[in-house]
Amino acid sequence: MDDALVRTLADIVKVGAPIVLAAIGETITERGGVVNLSLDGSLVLSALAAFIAGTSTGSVIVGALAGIGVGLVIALIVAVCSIELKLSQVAVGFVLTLLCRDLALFLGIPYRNAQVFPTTFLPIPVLKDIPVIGAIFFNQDLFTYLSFIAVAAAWWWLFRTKAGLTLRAVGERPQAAFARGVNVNAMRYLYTAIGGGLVGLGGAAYTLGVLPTWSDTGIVGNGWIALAIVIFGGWYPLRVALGVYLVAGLRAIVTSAQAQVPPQVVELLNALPWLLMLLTLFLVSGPYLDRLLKVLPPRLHPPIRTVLRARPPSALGTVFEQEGRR
Amino acid sequence: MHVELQNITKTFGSLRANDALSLHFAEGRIYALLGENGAGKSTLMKILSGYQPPDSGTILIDGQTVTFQTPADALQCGIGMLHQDPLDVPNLTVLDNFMLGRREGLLPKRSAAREALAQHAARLGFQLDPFRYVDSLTIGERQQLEIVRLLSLGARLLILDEPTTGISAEQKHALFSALKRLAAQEGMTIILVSHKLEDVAALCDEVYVLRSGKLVGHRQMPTPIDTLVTLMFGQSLPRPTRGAHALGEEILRVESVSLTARRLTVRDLSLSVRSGEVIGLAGLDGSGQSDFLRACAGLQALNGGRILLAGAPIHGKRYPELLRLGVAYAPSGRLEEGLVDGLTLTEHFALTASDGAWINWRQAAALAAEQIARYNIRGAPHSPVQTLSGGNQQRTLMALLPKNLRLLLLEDPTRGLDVESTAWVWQQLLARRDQGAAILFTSPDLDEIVMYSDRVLVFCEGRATLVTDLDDPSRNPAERLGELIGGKNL
Amino acid sequence: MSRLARWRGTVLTFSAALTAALALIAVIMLSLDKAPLAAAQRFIEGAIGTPSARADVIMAALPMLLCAAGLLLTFTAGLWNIGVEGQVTMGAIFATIIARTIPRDVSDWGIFAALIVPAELLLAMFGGALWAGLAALLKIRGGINEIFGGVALNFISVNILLSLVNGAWRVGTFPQTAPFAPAALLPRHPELRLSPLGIGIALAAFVAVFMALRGTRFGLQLRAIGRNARSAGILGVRVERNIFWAMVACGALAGLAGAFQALFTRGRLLPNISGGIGFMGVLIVLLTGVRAAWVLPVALFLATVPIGSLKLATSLDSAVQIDAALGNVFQGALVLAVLIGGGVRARLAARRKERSEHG
Repeated sequence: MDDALVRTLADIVKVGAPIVLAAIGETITERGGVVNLSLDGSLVLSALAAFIAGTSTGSVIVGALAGIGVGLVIALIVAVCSIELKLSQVAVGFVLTLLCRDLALFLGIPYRNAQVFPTTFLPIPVLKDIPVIGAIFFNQDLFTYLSFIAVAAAWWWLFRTKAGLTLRAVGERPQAAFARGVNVNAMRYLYTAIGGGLVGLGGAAYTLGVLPTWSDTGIVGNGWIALAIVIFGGWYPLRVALGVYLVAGLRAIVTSAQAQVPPQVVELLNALPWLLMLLTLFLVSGPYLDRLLKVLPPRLHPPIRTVLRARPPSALGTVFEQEGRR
Repeated sequence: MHVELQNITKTFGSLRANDALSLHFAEGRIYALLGENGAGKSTLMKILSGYQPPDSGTILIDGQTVTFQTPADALQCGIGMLHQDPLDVPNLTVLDNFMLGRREGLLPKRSAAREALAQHAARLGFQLDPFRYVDSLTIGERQQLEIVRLLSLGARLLILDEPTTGISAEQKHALFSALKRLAAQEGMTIILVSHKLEDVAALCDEVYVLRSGKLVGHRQMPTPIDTLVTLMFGQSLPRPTRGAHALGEEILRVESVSLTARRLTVRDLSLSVRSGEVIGLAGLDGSGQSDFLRACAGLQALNGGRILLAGAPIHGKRYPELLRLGVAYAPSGRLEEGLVDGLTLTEHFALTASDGAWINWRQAAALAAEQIARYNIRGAPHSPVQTLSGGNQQRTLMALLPKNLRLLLLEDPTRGLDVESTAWVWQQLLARRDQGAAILFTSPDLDEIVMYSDRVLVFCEGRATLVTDLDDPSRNPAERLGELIGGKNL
Repeated sequence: MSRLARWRGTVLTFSAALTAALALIAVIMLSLDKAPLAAAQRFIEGAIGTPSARADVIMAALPMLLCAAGLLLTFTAGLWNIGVEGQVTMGAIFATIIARTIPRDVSDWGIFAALIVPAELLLAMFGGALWAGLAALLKIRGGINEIFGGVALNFISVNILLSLVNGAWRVGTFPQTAPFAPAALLPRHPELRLSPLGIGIALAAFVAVFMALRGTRFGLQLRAIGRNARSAGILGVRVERNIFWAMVACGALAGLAGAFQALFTRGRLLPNISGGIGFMGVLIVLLTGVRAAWVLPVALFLATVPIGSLKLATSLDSAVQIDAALGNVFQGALVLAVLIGGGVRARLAARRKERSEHG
């Protein structure tokens, strides 16, 4: 395989790592039925927190924990407002996304382009020399490895463990979960926290990994992309990750085309990921998928549904009330 | 396992759903819990299975008092309930649903679970494919899954809520054999909540009958079906003599209509309704009459056949258009589907009046005041509609119906109203009838159906029987209808 | 609950929220060794102390007011029109289509010179309406949630904007158009930096929305849909059609706001022309709890923030000098506090009701 291509793929995976972390985190949260619209602001604020903590202590771990903490707290605010105060998740999330972004922009002023965080580049000794795969997957920095782990862990957790099954049930039909003895709201709190923590880790990945300096322009807007990719990926971790890499790949293509192509065309090309997502969702969300499924034999349904289905967890955004009880 | 309910009472607002009910259930027996809609069966069973706490009263298992916080608690004590709409997760597979809620470690052993599923299913004579998604299963299969799951978790008392609606005859046969086996050979207790008298006769050993929240009968089977019907529906009044009135042209024609709704399929229904006719649609909840009513309103798609309004097919027309053509539909779920909570009475009237772009609030308020007086609604024009009592909301719904209607489709029009209000509402409806409207209405109250209908369409499991000889003095009409509702003589 | 009691409750909640938000700002300032009280004074002076400042506040409020007015329609119908930012951008772009072609000297245009601005505004409304209509169709025909569609269209609108100012419409080395000719801009008051025409239009739009919601069938139908779309359908309301037109109307007003941005605030088309105006509109509507009557005062109040913050940012007194971004933080904190305050109040009221029913 062409050297430049391999390097590009490795770059895509590296640049996509923070968004992967955020999108996986949001996937988990939404699988539990909670929408965390504060993703974009949360990402930036936790990135700043991670940067400040990391550069002042010189420790990646501390920085990462700071990021995780911030993401966790913000997500919990959404959860508490929804579960205890019955406020709209969308409203609270939207306000939080603006607030956190503005907080980050303000508090980050003294840190602009000030320092560079030492690299967290961690090539793995033997594996990195495997042709192609080694260069892409084992010659990366810490956070990229964490993003791989997050995808695998989320997939395994959701589809191979009992807790993950419970989570999926809570997001689909909380009454049924309740009937089976699940404490629905406790689950929602727990997984919103976990998801938020992952978002925070994604923020840390920016300032401690990808662009190891504090600059708001590289991060703002990526949270929205993560939110969109969760939908586009049908709430399946593997598809979400692929979606992120697809978007990152498109961006990489556009960047490399910058030399040959005039800027106005580049800008239009930047719209491609969104157009692609809209088009795909239009074809899949509508009645077309159902028609397709009717034609195919039942044996094929599970794989087709996994690959194509884009219906949200049925109880997403709803409030769970126990009937007949105070 | 001996289960006893003592003095269970549950009140919702002003409605006493369960009034000091005391029942006991022995092991190895199959019980039936009979009663009309609103008799209190579902509430009682929800209490027994842990979904709701009683306001007062006790539950005893083998002499020990127990309280349930959640349905899972009840299941741990051995009591499991199969709901009419099984509480499964549609977007997960059969195996996932089976495994959900099992008390295991972190990593479920899928192969072990698969075996358990297969084993328990075989024990009951069921066949379930573990990899199918639940939303692709039929109702009967979903029931089977839920029963298997409850049994695998150690249920000793199984409550089945209207299990035979919408399942095939084979599945019913399989279910009944399985239940008999469970009771006879394994000493389980089965409670069947149902209105299907034939099923009850075929399966059950003992019967409890509820009416209006009270226990009105406890019989050993076999008991004549007539007795059960009387217990369920009460002594019916003789049909008053009805004045003749002129009928007009055919306004509604239903030709071989089939439709599928949630649980069942209505098949091959044909009907011709003339202006000035009142047709009562009888049958218990979920038998298809509400869905048929909605189909006539353009709110429910048809699988086959067609519906014609004054000769023109209504296919493709949406409800607002039918409204303009003189058809009005009033659903029974007042706040969910007919009134907009948060809006005042005046605003509702402004919404339905069909004038131009601008609203004349004074006119609307005057109209509201007028209608409030006419329909005796206890509320002011500026009262938000959700602050009205249920009965007054019903009156509001009636008042919102447009003036010149050709066809009125009413779902349980006098629900929640006292006797006086009911009589008055019917006065209004009959006045419209005299002006030439045709009325189709559903009602769980057989007396109401008998009193006001020219003809009755009785629904049972999607099949409809037209009864035209209500005036026949040799048969008590309510009894006849009750039997048809129960499924006899089909 | 009586009207007076409700009103009192609202004022109480708002005051509590305002106090909380101000306290947050004060804490942040203190941690940076600034003087909050002095800053507050300077802020108020800077925002409403001089006629020119007041003019600035009014003009800053106009685009926000337009967006908020449009969003009142969509929020009333229960929609989350996050795509409003993109609709503002498209409005600005469409206004520019005409604006950039107007020459410096239009003295020989005669009567047609007077038609320039109306034409630009109408085209801008069309652009915004188009973008909103697109989001509405994606929702109605494609089942695409309006938030996702809105966000996607926001990004796409930015791409279109950047493409134009970097390419076909660029003048000079920076990605922007040339400054528009005076005849293309919103006519300005000779002394103060404000546009009476702009004020008139914005107020007229707001009043139109207010009256539409109060007095027209359309407004009542939107309210019914927002509360209970199913019941509305049963009562004869055409739900999808009304949703579509609410979105389109909002888009038109947002487009108008975009035109104001291009033809007054900035005087040319450049990146980030929407300047967060659309989202500000959302915040305003959230702050007022979707109550039209409060939108005007709240818009003016929020408009003081960027103006006052700018004065603080450029102050030479180091005790009060602080970056203007803190103003945005204040706005967000205020809305969050109001939302939470409302939620707490509702929960307390529900608890009280329960206790009285069972006590």
